[in-house]
Amino acid sequence: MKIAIHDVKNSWKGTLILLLVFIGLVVMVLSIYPGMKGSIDMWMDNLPEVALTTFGRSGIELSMVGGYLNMEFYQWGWVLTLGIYFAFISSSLISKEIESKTIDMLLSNPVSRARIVLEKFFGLVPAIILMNVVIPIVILGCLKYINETIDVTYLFYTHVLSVFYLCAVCAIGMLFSVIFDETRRANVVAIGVIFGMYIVEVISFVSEKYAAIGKISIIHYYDPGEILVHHTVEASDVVILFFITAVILVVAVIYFEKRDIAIS
Amino acid sequence: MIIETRDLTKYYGKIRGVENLSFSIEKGEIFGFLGPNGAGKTTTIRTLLGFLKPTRGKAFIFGENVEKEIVKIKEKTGYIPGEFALYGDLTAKDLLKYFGKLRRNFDEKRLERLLEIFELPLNRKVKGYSRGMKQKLSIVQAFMHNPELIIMDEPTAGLDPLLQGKFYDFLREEKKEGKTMFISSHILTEVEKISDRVGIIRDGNLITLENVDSLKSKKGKVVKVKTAEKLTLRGIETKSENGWTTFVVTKDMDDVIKKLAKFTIKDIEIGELSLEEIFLHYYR
Repeated sequence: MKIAIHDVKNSWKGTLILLLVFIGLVVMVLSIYPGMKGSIDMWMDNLPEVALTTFGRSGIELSMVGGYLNMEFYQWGWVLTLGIYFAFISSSLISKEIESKTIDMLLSNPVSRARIVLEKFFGLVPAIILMNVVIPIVILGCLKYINETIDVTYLFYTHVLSVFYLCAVCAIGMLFSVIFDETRRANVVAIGVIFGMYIVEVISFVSEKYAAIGKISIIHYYDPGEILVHHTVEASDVVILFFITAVILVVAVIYFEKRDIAIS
Repeated sequence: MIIETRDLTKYYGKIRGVENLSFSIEKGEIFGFLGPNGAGKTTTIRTLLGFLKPTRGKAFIFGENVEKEIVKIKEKTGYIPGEFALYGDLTAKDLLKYFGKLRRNFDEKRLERLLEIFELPLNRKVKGYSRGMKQKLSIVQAFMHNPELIIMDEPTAGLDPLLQGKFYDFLREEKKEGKTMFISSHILTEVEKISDRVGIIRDGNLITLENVDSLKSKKGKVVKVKTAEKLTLRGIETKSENGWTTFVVTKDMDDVIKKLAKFTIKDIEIGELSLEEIFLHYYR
């Protein structure tokens, strides 16, 4: 785990900034909730149907703080933005070493390529866990301050599933990270895939006709609204996300073991 | 046998890297791997170290196949890459600590000794290092775990003469301890100072394997002379251009000078044979 530990130590500043940004975001979103609460129904009546389905896959329950958080924070802030952040970070990990040629130095040590892929992946897990521990605590703190309550159990589940979702995102990023020699290209493709999956899931939700295609999107298996608002947690979602992570990591390891690392 | 290759061949798609390389290096030997730029030196090294998969043929280090047991091989191997791409955001201290943890035989005392020879500003970030400092850091990391084999890709390019001398002295000491070294270079005079044996590679093919002594006997001077009369020298192949006559002298310089003395010499230049000229002269 020495490579993972090294990576964690080296990236703590970035992780801290990410955490602070998201704490700020949560505080901001929740601080305007009391003021908005009264006018939410009126605001919702004026929203087009499509917007409702797009932002809240599981329907809109804005008058409850869980539904409000889902729509104003989790759907775009967490699933999409944090997903894109981790896609960006993970897709940089090995492509950056290849692009800057430091991979030569790293591989001059007695470490296998498989170990590098896996350790670099595991080096991301502490940041994922940190986000999923601190943010719900901040949410609970804020809610107490504005005298609102939320079901703590389901807030907890939301973040347990989030860990699996973000791990799957990182596995996808790792795959592109071992395929491309240029960091920027790996970033663009990984972010594109996450964004594309978000769009696919939204389309499948809006239109009955395309309902089936949502299943190819990892975002289909993580819906904070479903958990926070409707209090439904599917164990199969956890299994599927875990399975996706494992399979993609195995593919990344095999690909990286087989490829040439040439100097361009 | 420390290194052995059998018909080692690497193609990048259709582009040839190296072809049918077969050679072996004994324990305690310093092997110079010589060839002009683009001849396939780096391709050979990268294939030996498992960065590239051979298209055909096999390579063994410590008797282990490099395609299968590369991690085991690297425990006893040090590597100085041709490009000193080090982790710029780390200080040298952190980088050495990091790599030390990844290596089994890392030896703190040895590192201290290395740092006495190759002094480094340890607390400065590597991205602020000059080329020479990066090179010293590459050398230190390659030797710090007391490897039995050290593979070096043009290790002295960019070292100042003083440091080069220190480096060669250090290599000689390591050799006394039975270390095996593989050094690539495109400059003959660099390799011949230190090597026991030399392999010459050109256009991806191994042209010859020779002891340094017999290679040294193939040395010579290039003489370029401008004479008033038309110059002809018996038994020597000459080339004329713009009043200058060029030829290679491999043994009897005295005889050549005496022959030249009969002409009116307007100008003369005498230089060492370059590697390319040795190729043209001896291995065509």
